[in-house]
Amino acid sequence: MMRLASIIVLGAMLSSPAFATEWISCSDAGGLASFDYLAGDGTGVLSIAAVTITTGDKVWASDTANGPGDPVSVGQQFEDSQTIVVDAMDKDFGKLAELRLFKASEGEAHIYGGTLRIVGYGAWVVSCDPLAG
Amino acid sequence: MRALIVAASLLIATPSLATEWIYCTSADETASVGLLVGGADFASVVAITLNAGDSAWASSETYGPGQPIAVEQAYIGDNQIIVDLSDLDRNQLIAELRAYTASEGNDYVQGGVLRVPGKGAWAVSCEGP
Repeated sequence: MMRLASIIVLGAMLSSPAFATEWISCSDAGGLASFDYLAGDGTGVLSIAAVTITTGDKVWASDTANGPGDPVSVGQQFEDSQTIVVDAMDKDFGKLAELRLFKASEGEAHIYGGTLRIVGYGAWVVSCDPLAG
Repeated sequence: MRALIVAASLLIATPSLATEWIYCTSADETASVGLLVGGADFASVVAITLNAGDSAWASSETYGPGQPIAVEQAYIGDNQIIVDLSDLDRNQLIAELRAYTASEGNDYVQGGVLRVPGKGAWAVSCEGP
């Protein structure tokens, strides 16, 4: 009976989708701003577990385990085969930042590119390494 | 005299038919696409240049050397640039440009991706119009 239970548990684990997470790091070419987020996969939709945003000396971090920073949370988030859209919110749930990305793949290349806008600070062209995590 | 005034006022009231280029280039300059846009809100693509590695395309010899290329479909608006480029018969996709625009304060930026089937895919930043 014990062996049967173990087999069922093991089988369930093997058949479940992976719930791995990976950091997606987006930054502008000049290193003036960045938007990093910890994305979970396996659920079929974008699920961001943590976010860290920087520009100049300013840092916002949703989890102090990832470094010091002002509070930030994730508002709207969406991903499909062609685009990624993320809004980050400040401690009062006002709009802090907008990340807008398109995806493209060709051969071995998997590219994310788009824009990052941080309210009150500026806007930048950013590219991301989806395999950086 | 009245005819002159009417003619002058019509000239003043006629919207500008200017055209300007949008250039999108990868950081390493391996790939680039130029779109000559005009019309209302610069939303009509009237000429194209495309380079990817050693390959080149141009909608007319006026704009540079290369194989023929045309707009298959395009949308410029709502903070997005979405353009598919094809051969003249619209049978074969040559390139896809997808870019967002964002502005904050004095900043106005455009960035996205350029995919050229069989050649590669690149993150690009765009300038203009």
